[in-house]
Amino acid sequence: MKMKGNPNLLLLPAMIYITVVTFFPEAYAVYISAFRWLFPSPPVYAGLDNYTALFSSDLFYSSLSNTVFWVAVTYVVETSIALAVALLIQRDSRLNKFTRTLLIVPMMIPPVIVSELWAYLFNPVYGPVNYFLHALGAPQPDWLGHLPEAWYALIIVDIWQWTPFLILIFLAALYSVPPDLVEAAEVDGASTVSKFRYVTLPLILPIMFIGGLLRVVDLLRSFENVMLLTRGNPGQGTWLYSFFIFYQGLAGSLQVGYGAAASIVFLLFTGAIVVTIIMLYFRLMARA
Amino acid sequence: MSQDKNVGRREWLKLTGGVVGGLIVGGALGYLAKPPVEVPGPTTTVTATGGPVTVTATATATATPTEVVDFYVNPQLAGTELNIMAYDTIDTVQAKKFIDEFQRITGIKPIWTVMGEGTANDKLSLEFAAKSGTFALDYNSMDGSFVYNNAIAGNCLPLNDWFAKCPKEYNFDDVLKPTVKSSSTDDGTIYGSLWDCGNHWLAYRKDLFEAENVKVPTNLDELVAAAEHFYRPDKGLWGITLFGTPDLFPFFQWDMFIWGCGGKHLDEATMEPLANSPEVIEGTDYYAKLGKYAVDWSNSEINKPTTYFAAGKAAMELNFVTALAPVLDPTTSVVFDKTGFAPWPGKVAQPNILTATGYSVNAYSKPKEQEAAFSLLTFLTSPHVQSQALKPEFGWPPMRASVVEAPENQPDVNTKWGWMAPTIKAIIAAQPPGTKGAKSVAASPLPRLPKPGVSFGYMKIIYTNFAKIVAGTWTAEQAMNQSQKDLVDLFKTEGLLK
Amino acid sequence: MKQNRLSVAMQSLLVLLVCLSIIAPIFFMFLTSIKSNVAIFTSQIFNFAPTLEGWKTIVFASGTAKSVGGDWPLYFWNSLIVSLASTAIALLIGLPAAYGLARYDFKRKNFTAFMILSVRLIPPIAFLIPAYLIILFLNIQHTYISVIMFYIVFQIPFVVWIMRGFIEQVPKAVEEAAALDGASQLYMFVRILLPLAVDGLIITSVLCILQSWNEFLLGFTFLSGDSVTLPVAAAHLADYALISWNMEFVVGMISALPPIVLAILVQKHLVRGLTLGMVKG
Repeated sequence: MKMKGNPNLLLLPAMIYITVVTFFPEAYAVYISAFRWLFPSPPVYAGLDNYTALFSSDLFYSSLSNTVFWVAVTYVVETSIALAVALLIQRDSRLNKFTRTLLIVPMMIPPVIVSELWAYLFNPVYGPVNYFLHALGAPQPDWLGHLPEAWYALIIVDIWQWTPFLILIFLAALYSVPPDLVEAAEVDGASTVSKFRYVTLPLILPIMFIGGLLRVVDLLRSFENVMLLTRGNPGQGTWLYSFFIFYQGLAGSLQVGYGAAASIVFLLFTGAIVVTIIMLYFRLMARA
Repeated sequence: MSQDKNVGRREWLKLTGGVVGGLIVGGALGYLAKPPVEVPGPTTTVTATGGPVTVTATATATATPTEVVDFYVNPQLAGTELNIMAYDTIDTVQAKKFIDEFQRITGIKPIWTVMGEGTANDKLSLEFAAKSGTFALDYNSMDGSFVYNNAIAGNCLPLNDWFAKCPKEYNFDDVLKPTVKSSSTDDGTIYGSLWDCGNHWLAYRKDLFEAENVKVPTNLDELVAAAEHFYRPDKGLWGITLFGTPDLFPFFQWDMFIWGCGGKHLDEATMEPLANSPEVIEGTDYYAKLGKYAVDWSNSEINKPTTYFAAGKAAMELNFVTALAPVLDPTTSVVFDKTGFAPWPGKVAQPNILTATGYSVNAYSKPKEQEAAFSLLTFLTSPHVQSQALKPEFGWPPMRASVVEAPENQPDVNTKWGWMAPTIKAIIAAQPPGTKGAKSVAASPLPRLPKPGVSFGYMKIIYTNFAKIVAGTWTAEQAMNQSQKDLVDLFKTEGLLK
Repeated sequence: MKQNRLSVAMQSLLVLLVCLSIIAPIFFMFLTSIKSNVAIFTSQIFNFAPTLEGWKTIVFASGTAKSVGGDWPLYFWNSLIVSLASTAIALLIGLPAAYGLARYDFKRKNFTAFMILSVRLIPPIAFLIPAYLIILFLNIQHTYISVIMFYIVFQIPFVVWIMRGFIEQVPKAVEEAAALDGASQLYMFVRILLPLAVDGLIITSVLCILQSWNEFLLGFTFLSGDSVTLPVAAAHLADYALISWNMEFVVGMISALPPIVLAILVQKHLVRGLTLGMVKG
């Protein structure tokens, strides 16, 4: 039984703080995006010029499509691996318990350090990855400077660091499945696969959704790995949108008007994706 | 049940509280733990007469030094903390070797913040945009053109008055004019000083070239041929090592290629960019051709080429004179005894001397710090410090005519720093006889444009489009045509072109 | 169980593979931290002469001038201050909101809750540029407050949503009993409710600290010189011309240690925390 009454005072500090610290910069960004502003020279009013420049820029479209591709592929790969591993380690054994603790480690290392580590590991000239490939007689690609390989490298780094996040969530989901339901299915003669598909999966879907949503949102923001591993190389081939905003707005020459326009577009884009995912989920749930 | 819960929670609380507390204590201890008090190093006894200087180092820490002070000193600055932003190049390493002496004479405490060049350049633009005077002495890398660009943006302090107040022993006339010009604006206001001046050279593996009877390249076609000859990545050897990241470094190498083919950044009279002129495209094309034989091309930034060469991975390296220095250090290089040097093999003879690393005083710092910064600036460019330039234990191209002309410093390829001989020769050759370097023109790596920020914009357009060449998606011609379009657009927006 | 020996062995093998894939890179990080630079560049992966130069330089920050790369104990301290301060303030702001959402019913409740949650879904890069300009105008660049300000707003969703769940778990009867005894709301909250929701408090604090400790983008843009945090300083170091991988990884191991230790301590509630209370771990 909840209390009736006015909790406004309680909620006020949080709401005010959030509004001030997120809303005002965003409003300011909308304002700035109407100017052509090469900081620290004075800004020049330019109306919608920044947006037209944005939408006619090849880099904008390539960064955006890179980001969509990146999010989709990485998410699918990570979810598959995470589900498989979660199923593998759900029984209680010493090895599994140890693994569950070990899984925490990659998530908690600062992403900067992880990127640096893999920048070393993937170094085509003196890095261990190519060293081992050489020992195995396999070709040693230029991991960070050549196109398909650079994406593989970025994806591998993200998998290494963040799949544990999904694994732990799926584990929690698996544990939430009441064992009697599973046993009942077994008694009815269901195979392992059917057991999973018709009993377990629908029950863990809501949790997978939450994990997935968080993962997609974080993938959209990926920045450290691009900046430190490939720096957008080769060419601008591995530019993700976050790097696009940073590079255009704050690196070298500060075109803050253009950068602000790019930021606003990104906000809308992210919002659209989140809303789509949520709607998709509810549609899926309604069907089940 | 609740009892267990409570005990469980209490233990959690204790454990976590202990950990957090431990972290805080640990952090505090770590912060307070200072290294043992520094014992002053060997003192140097210096007598400066504006000419060659003899230095004797004594090992005792208590000997009283006798010095002629040939740089700007203000006794009231004793105790001031001076924040220096420096890039982690060999120049900083060399400069730091003199710091104890500076600190002892002036009482100023220098605090170096040394950063990698890539991030530092990002930082520098943010720093100046923020008008924060955190670092009173800024190392405006690359050279005077950075100083110039920051000067017209108002980020650097004009130094003419202070230079006038220097003791006569400082001998301002002795400073090579190109270095002064590059860090001044056209009206003669000086905004900084260069620590050294140098050029790009070619380093090559003597052992490999001799063993396979390959001629040392003297022009760009020979250069490409040699790089192709030595390109054996499966055996761990690449032809050459070059800059190739999507940041500013390739831009400075690009400069050499376009100048080497007779091109230039823009037509100064009409302010029109010349990115798609035939000479510039030709130069860019040579750079693109060489890149195919370069080790880790797309990720090589400022001194990575040197580390690869020093690790024996490449047969050649094109780089700044000072960036090549670590190749000769036995502790960091495995090819220190196998390296030869040759002039940059351009089509056109190397006309200009590219000046390098410089310091400027931050216009937004507190006056006391600014003065302290100026003091250090004059110390590092003083006759007695610069006269050490070509001694075996140091090594940088000096920026004073007296040092360049001193008989014992005449180019001798047998000394450890003999590889600088070509640079010294070029510097001397650029001076009309009898004068002190007044005539030589220091080519500016960044075009000197009247509006601050546009030069950096120019650079950014070139290196962003150049990155596509590195990636193999564009030819040199395509990249330069696109650059021309972008540059004209930029110039028009900023009012430099109609 | 219906699994035969072979299947169990296969499963164990796969799990071992997973463990190996996690441990191997970290092992290389450690290995590289004790190599000399020449050894690294000449690809001496396993046969090299170990050296403690990197460790000594970083841990003791030795030298008359601040050592190569900087004053590491200071950066550790900066990270500590920024993390703890932002967490403390986020708790102060967020706990009342959590209580309000947990105990009260009001018209716009779900909307408010969702608004708070949406902050978690915003990409920080989107307001990096205007935020940076604002900070320049307020002249607080390179200070702790510039980053703390934003870290707080990222932590509030965690505080509100995690604590809301934990507070809801505490039976109302406890509060009602105390109210009958004449306790004020604040007393009830601090002395009675919080101790019963201490698990929530711990996981919230740990997650907030972790988030701020590992944060890079804002720190890199807003901080400089003496005020940098560990991840930012590590990025600066990595750019080093003579790129000292050994020092980089020493820094890496030191920066990674506190978050890992903290996370393992609260691993029981980790999933719940990471998903803002939506998944009961």
